Amino acid sequence: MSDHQPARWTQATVYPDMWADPDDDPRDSEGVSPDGELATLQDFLTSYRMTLRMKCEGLDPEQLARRSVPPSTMSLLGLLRHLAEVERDWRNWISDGDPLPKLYGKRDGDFDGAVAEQAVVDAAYADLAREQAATDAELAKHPDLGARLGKDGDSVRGLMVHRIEEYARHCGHADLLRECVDGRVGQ
Amino acid sequence: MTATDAKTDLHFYLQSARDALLWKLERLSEYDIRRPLTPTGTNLLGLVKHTAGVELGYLGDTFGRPSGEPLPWLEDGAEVNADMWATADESREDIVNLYRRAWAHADATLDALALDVVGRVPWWPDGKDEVTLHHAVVRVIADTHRHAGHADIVRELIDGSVGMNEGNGSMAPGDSAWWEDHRSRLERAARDADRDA
Repeated sequence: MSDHQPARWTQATVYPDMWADPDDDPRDSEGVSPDGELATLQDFLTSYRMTLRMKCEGLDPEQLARRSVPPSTMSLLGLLRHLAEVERDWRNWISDGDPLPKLYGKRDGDFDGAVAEQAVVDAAYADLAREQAATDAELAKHPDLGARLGKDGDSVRGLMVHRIEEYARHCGHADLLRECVDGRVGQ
Repeated sequence: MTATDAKTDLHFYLQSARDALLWKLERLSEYDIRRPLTPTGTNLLGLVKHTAGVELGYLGDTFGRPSGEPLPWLEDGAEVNADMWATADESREDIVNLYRRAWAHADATLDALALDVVGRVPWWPDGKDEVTLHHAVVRVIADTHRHAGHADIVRELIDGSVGMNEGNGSMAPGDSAWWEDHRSRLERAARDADRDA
């Protein structure tokens, strides 16, 4: 951590531990959960995907690419690229075909190549949205949550829960990375 | 196509989240598991203490199954953030054992009730406080992982070790010592070679 820590702040006033006030928060973080197992899982996935993007809001390419908690080599931009790569890899889990080539090359290319350029930032958002949509479309072909897919025979339900936990874990990283970029905190 | 049991799958992911969080404490001193390492004081033992309360709340009280565990740091009038750090008289064993008892309590709830049973989260606003057990379990899995994400960064700040969970191919806690030994050995071999040349 650097010697100059930004002061902690949140935009939220109603619930001070949140990122934003309910009226400004696109996530349905309170209230009755949707009916049904699949709807609930999709709701959590959507919410954590939004959280990751919200943790990146309002920052310039340098801030997004900053390794703000050394010795960790993670950055917010690196996380966006990593999740794009992971979404892509999930399609390898559920397919019996040849694996898709990696988006950013060698192991850790997602984090290593996260450099402070607007074009890299734009590409990361576009890649993430595209890979998310492609994996969603692939999984939509398997409405039976108990169906076992791919070489490892993971259940659709298990993969959905894994996707949520993967985003949640990285949102935990994003929480502290963002806090150390400009002090903004909140769930 | 084989049908799988939703509870079995959920429990697997719940336990892996719990194990990941506790794993982050392994081989660290009492000081290191308590050291505040971010501007907001994030620390490993506090994350465990907090997460124990999360489990007992969402997978206990919410479904009319209070655990009876005293959690003074969550009571009205408790100091702000008191659940996010351990006092010097709260031992590692106290907190970790509380967390393990919270697992057992939550698991018993999961065993006893159907996933579509509806509960009420006591600290959510009236009228918007209903959740299914399925929702509550997924919430605890995700919340535990989010805190494990905090623990990942805090642990790396402490000793440089990283990894998603034990045995996931990433560097395990303690491995930094192995690598240091390994590096020293290579250094000695290089010096020996130089001397013998």
